[in-house]
Amino acid sequence: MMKLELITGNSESEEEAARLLAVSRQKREGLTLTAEQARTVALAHGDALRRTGRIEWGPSAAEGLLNAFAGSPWLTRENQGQQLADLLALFYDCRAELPDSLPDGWLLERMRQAYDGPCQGCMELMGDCFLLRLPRHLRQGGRPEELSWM
Amino acid sequence: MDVNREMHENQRRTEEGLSANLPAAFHPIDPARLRAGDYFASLTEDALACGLLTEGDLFCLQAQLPELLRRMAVQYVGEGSASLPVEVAGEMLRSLQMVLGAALKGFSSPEDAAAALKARPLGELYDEGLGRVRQKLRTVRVLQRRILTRLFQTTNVFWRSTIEGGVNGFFRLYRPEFAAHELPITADYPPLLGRPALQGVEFMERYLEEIDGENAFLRAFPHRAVHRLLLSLSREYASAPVNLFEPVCLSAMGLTLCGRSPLTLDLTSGEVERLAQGFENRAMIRPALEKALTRLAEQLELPGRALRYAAQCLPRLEESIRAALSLGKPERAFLLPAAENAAEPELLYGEAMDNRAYEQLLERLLQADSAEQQAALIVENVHSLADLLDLLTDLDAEDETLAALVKRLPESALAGLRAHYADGLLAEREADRRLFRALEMPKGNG
Repeated sequence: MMKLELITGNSESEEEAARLLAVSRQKREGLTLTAEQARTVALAHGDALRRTGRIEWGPSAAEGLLNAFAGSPWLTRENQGQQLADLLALFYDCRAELPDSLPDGWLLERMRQAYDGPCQGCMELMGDCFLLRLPRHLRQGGRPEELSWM
Repeated sequence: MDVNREMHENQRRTEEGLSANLPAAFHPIDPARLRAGDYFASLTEDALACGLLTEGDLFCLQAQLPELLRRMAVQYVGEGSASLPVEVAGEMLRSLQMVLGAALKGFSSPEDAAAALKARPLGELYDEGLGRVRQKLRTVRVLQRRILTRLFQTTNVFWRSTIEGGVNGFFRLYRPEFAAHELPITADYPPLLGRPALQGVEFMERYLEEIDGENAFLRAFPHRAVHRLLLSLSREYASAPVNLFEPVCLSAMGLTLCGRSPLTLDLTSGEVERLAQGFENRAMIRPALEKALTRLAEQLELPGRALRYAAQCLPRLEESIRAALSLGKPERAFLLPAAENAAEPELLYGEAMDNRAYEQLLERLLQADSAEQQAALIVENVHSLADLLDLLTDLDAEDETLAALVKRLPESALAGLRAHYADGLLAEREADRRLFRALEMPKGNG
């Protein structure tokens, strides 16, 4: 039976890595990714989409994340690849808990604020904020924009 | 109109829908094979199989999908999000297919539809399909309103609650832009022709057309006679999802074949026995039903939609008779009505007032000194549910009046009204919703 095929996940990692490298080089501030780091982030992107069961179109959230975290004082030349990969995984895990109507940009902005502020670049604390406090706040009927990270 | 002529007319109209001037060799797709409930997939399969579409054409169609989905997704979540759960995207794809199917059904032949798939942008076809879906929504609203203004009165809760509450719920919940394929309600009332194998608003359109046919047929009969007949189907028929049309139609046909008026719906056991003997040769059943329907149509002056619907139901009616005869119980098809003194809620089955009497009562109600006095006047003078609801609307009756009215009504009338308003809060008229709320209050309140 002929049906429309649903294209899930993202395109090949190598293509994704090349796109992320290009985005990183266009940023006005912050560090540029190496090719290896771009591949790390691209792989994390694909894994996160598959794990959380999401489909993406157009400019990806990975590109949005690179722009949102450009210039963060907690990203170094050595750690940025893995940190961005971890942040991307956290983004999609959190995205799955939020209403579809809430823009990606809102979540990325909050993540940057928490990362630079109270979490001071610590992924464990970021996990607490976005995977424990936020879902609990939502379960108790709170609106996402009402949650304070302090 | 003769039933056979009606059926042949339908066939002719279907055939004329195809490009009549082309020879058979140019109609490689058999319309009868296409699945109406999955038209897009079904048409592309058959078009591929007979060479009207190639694998290359399908690849082009596929390539246009992501952009169409992106458009839908952006409408759904706004420009600020780049991803969606796969399940949601899957539902959007199904919606897209249904809408494309609606567009393709608008072509004069499946071959023309396949040609359009090849030649025209998918986005353009989608927009056309969405326009057709929205037009169908408007048609369904008009159809519902027409049925409700002339609704056959019965205590069966599923009849009115589906047509009013259920369909209103559909209008509130249906989202053709993202979920055109969905049916966000349970269509509880079971028409004899069955629930259509269609999606979304196409289902609702066909479903209401079937109910329209049944309603037009049932209205030809006195509701007391129908009530007695259905009581013999089940004492609990008011609260069961049973088809109302079949027993009435078979009883009426039986009476016609016995040479009696169909309006009484009161076959005797002797007549049922005679019918069973006449149908010993099973091949006689269909011709007899066709003859009976033709006579019924003339005697009762059945509206066209009632006759067309009954004609479509003939195979199922024949099946019911065969099944009953094979069990040696013809009375399962040709019901014997319940006793003359079977209880019925008087409020629903009384005669409606003429306009003058109605206006005089309304005047008295407007001049009444209290809610109690209004309630007393209503109970004394109103015997039809339609009159009651019209009065409550025209009077803009206060909740106090409704509460006083409910206190005065006997239990049998209250039971009938409660059965009538199973989905009262989804009723269209404010008077219905307020009466429903008053019925829900314990009798001591207000």
